[in-house]
Amino acid sequence: MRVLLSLILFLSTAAAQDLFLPNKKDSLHFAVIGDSGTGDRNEYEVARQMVAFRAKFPFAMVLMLGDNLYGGESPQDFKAKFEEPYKDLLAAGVKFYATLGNHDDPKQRFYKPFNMNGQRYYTFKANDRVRFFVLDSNYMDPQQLNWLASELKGSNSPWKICFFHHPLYSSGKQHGSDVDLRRFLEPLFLEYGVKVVLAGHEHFYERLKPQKGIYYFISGGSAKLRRDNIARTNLTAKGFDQDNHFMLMEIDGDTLFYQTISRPGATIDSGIVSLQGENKAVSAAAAK
Amino acid sequence: MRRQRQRFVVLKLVLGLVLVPFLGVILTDTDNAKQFSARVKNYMELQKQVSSKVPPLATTEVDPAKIAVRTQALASGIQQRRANAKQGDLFFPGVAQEFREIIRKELQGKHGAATRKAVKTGNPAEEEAGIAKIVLAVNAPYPDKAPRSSVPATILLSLPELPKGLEYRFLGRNLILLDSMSNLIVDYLQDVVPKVTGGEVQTGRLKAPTSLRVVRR
Repeated sequence: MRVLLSLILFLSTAAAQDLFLPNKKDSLHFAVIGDSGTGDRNEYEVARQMVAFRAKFPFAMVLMLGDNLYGGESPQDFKAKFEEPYKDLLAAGVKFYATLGNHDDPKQRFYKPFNMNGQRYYTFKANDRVRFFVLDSNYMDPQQLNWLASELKGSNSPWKICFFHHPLYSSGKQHGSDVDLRRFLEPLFLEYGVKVVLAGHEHFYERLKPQKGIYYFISGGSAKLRRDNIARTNLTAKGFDQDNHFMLMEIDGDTLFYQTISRPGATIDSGIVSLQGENKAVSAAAAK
Repeated sequence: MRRQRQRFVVLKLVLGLVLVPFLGVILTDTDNAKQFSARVKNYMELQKQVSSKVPPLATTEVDPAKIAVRTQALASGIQQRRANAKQGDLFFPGVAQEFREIIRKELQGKHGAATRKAVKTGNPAEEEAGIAKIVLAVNAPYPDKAPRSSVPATILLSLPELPKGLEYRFLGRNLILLDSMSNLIVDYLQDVVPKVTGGEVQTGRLKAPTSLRVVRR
């Protein structure tokens, strides 16, 4: 009986840590975390899971969706809530790109490992086809809107991906959609062909049904968790609010693959976003 | 303020006609607005002077201790130079009235519900317990453990533009002018978000900021 139980446990663990992304040599690999800076056990366990998956899926960068440091900004906080949990990734040369959440002091932009280069909002090109636009959704002033419009207009990258803290669409009982922000950002996203938007703030995972052709993901549970906080709405394509998680993404040509992984290593969502349309959530096995 | 107006024109053109209906009243070229901008400029000059005497800050700082040390040094220097500063030095009565009017209109306007909700987002008065007590006073430090409110884009498009390093933030029902480099409250406007009165004038039921303590000097 004990042998049988051990076998079941082994098989479930093995299955739990399966990778369902193409993992092609020349494609862009990255991870996504949000609301991660607690310094508690959950953050460390998610970080360990990221390290485990990186052995199979060698991502070179991590996008941080804000609330990078909760409850203080002392040097000890930077150590306990960022440098220690992610020390293996940092030691391996993984680059983190942060955005500011409502719990973050804007001076985090000067902290080199967050790669913000002193800017509250910034853009960077991951490769010839992918450009990220990183916004400060706490403070969407005219300068930032002008900057975003100008940068989006000037970009010829087929993949324009925006990430920031506050979700424009959300089924969260605690916060919900940020409609004020949406009124100003969505017209720009539509005008200039943004395809994917990532946000945090809600302490769970939610993949929204495409809104006006744009794919929105909420990934705000990489340390914080607000259990049972996803309300029943017609926005949700997939939701998960029972454990912490992180995301893996891969962009190969005109296709973005995503896999969302829980703290224990189970795949809770996976699928495909295509630049040409024809996007689908697929079962983990099919994604592979 | 002319520059600000030009930026609005550019923004409207860039965003296209779709956004124009969303832009409400803006604080334009009034004498009060000009005077406010002049006072902001004076403050920034003082900040620049103090800044030149404290350790410089690289935009790519590996050691977070250096960020903390510089913030503290800058705050101390500014507090010394502004030892006699008081509420209303920047938000003087004339401009304060215009600010209140703009914010009231935006909170009650066509898109007021979304704006009121955004004012609550991240507002320390709305966040979970356990944050440090915040003293609402000129020259008081904004605690690094406290979250920061969102400031709705609707409101930021209506108020006078601020230079980098100076921000509007909501603290409970109060609007503060925050120096984000020194983390000091430069000035504040009390109860700028109207009280919940029911009907159309609701403010999103902003809670009483129990963790805030108003200190008058």
